[in-house]
Amino acid sequence: MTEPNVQAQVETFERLVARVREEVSKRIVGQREVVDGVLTVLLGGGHGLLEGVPGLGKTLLVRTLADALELSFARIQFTPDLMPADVLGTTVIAEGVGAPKLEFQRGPVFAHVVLADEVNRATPKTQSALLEAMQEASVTVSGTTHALEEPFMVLATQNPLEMEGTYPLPEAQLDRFMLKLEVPFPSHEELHAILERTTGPELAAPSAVVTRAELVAMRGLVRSVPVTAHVRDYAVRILEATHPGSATAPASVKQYVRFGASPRGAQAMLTAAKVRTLFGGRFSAGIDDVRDAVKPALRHRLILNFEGEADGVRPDALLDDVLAATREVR
Amino acid sequence: MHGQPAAVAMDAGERVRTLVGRLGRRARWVRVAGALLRVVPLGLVGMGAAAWGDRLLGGALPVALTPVTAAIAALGVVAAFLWSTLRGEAPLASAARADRHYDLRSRISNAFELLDRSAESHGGFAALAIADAARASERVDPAVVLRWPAPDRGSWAAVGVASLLFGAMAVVPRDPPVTNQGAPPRPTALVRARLDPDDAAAFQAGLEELRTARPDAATQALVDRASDLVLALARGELGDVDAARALEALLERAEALEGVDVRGLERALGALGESMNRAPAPAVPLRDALAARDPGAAARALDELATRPPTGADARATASSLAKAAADAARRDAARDAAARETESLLRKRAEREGLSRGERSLLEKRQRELERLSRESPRDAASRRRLERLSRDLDRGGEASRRGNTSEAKEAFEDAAKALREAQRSVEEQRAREDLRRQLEQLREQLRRGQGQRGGSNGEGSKRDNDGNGGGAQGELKRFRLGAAGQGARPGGQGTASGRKGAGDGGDRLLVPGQGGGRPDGVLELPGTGDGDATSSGAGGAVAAGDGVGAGHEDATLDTPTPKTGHAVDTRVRGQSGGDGPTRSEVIRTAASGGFAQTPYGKVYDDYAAHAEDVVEREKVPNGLRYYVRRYFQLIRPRAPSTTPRTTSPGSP
Repeated sequence: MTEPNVQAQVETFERLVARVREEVSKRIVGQREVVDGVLTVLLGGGHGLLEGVPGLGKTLLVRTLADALELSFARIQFTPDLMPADVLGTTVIAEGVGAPKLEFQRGPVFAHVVLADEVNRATPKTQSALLEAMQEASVTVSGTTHALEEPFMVLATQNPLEMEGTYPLPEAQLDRFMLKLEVPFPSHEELHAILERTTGPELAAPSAVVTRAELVAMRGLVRSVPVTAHVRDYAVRILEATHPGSATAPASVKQYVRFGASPRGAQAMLTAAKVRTLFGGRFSAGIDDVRDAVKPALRHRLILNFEGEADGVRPDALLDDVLAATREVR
Repeated sequence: MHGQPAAVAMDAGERVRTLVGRLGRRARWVRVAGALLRVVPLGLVGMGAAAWGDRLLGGALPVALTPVTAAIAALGVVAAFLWSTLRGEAPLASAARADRHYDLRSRISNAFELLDRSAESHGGFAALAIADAARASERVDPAVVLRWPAPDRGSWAAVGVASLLFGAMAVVPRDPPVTNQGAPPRPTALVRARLDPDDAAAFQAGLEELRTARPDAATQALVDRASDLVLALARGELGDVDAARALEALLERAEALEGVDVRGLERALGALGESMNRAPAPAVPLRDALAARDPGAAARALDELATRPPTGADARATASSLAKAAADAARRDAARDAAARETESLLRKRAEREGLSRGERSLLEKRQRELERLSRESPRDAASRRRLERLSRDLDRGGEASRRGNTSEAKEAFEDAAKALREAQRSVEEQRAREDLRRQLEQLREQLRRGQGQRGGSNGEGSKRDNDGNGGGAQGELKRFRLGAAGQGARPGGQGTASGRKGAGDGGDRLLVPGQGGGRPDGVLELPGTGDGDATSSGAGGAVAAGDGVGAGHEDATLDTPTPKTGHAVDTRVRGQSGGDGPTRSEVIRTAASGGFAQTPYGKVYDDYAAHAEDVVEREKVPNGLRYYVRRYFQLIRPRAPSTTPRTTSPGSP
């Protein structure tokens, strides 16, 4: 890529993102960080886990995003009796012209944007049905692998409060979420705006402002953003510091963490840093971009030990210690 | 940004490099300043402390602290400078510092790193990042990013402490310089010198007696000082070393006092009296007084002669007797002078020829013996000899005037002679006082020395009791001194002590010591003996020695091979008992009555015996340890004036 091309692509990237934000903001009040996080997951080619209490607009956000991106959208409400076939699809006997034949009936996972609502309410069997789709972008049913159309993104939500009758996501599946976004409660002003919008005349639906091709191009541009060695080294040292056995780990990590983040965490950090670099119209990922990505990328990858669970230690607090203990430049 | 030429990108890269270089240099000097801000105050504190230490210790250390500390502080500054300069800061760290300060989100640090990469590695992204960083670097000021460090609290505190130290040094005056010339000062004694109350009372009594003798002013001053010293020792106010120093100083001053040769003067007076063997009746009192070596009585006899000068035959006989005495005195002087001259001549001859004939050697020995005898008989000091010559002339002149019937001249001459005798008497008394003072001071020194030795022995390790009777008395004393000085000895051996006490106990019926005859329990005269290890035999010896008369020799055995360790004597303390086996007062009186009551005053008897014992002790080869016992004995039996006892001033007295 030449300099003018890059410059133009970056400017286009900025413009499209701005338009998506604008469309999303027509339905979603505030939640700028969550919106950027979801966009980061989308543009980084990963999957996101949104955690928040009911009624904060998680489902609406995902649906609005899908509308603004001109992508197919599927919503799966996870319940304890949900079966993997309900997600992936199943083979049925098709009766039509000629002899009856087996035909694969696609499940809701065959969409560009899949909303796995309250994903922790389904059984682990059903949850694991998403593993292959999330990692390989393909689904294998009855010995036949079915590729999922790019871009494919799973956005799962879970309620942190209602833990009764839920099935916490296994570590392997958690690790496949690029970012875990915590949806905060709206502020006072945002609540006013929410009430005004949702109780008045119905607003127009958001229009699609980014085509699928543009989205794929944007994803390619993200991967082209350079990361210098000292920034990459910073990400690696951050990752190492989350492991209790590491010499650079802070005391709190050594005390409360059983296992640190996997290499996917570093990948997620750098990818998110690249997306944020382009959000800012810059041309190389910096230390601050990595710092911004640390918590969403690593908070669900820290496995606390019994003491940490008993003391109610929050992973974000541990990651604050990790950031404080890690020098930016060695 | 579109269509930016490569030259512009290169220029942007140089700008980034320049900026990072400036940041690195700035970081280095800021680091140096920070190090100096920490090291210099600490160095100042160290110098101040060292200067104070140097002042307080007064240069007692082998090295001067101030230069050493100054050198250390200087080395610390240099080391900090070198460390900061050589270590430096990584350029990337300097760039990151600027990024952080201006919130550039790693633009400069990324660009600086991308400068070293090939342009193809990241396509257009690298060039765009570098150009972006170059634009951002325009507002970066290294002086803002890296400000000069300010002293922290620790540095300010160190500066404050250093200021206090140096300020106090300017306010507090400096002690005068101490010069360590000569021998180092002796350490202050940690052991108090103590004098037994009874001993202190005895010494005070002796000193009071000296005062009543009205000696000269110098002697009187020494007596006063000695009395103060005894009092201080009785109260335990002085340490061993201080007491010894004070005592030595007193002894030196006492030795320095010049006086007449008392014994020589008395012998000369006795010779004068003996020369008057044919004196008539009026001159008999004078003759007897001179023969008795009593200048006072002689002066009174001369006063009598001056009042009633002899006449007639008595005058002629007196003149003849006095002339003979004067002539004998002149002849003795002449003989002494001649012997001295001849001896000197012979000695000079021997020195020149390195040899004398047999006759000359015999003559030299004879003359030396004669000179020794004459010198011993005549006073050694010139003042006494002149006084005796004047006395002889006055006596001769008085006798001649009496023979001629010149009463007034005879009276004048006898009065002059009486005056000379009174002066001689006064000189003798003063000299005796001086000698007495010296003797008492020496006894006091001996007493203190023994007290130190005993304390050293009792305080030292391995204190043991020498009960097996090894060595005689003298040997025991020597051993005691050695062990006492070394601080590890034992109390003296017991065999000598036991025998001595036995002797004193047997002889007690003839020695009227207060409390012994009267049976008071405290009146025990406990004297260390000088026996040779057998309590029984030594006791018998003590009884014999308690007879009349005073021995004039010494025991050679005490200087010979020590007695073998065969004795098994133990310490024994004999206490007087009222109505017991000891002599009762009636027995004492009856015993005395059988031999007749003594007519001579005790003081006179004491003086005679004490002077004789002192003379023997000085003249003969008597070990110091035994001399002590003799002097101590006479000190304890010294007649005391009841009103002068200082017992009430002694803190240990009841």
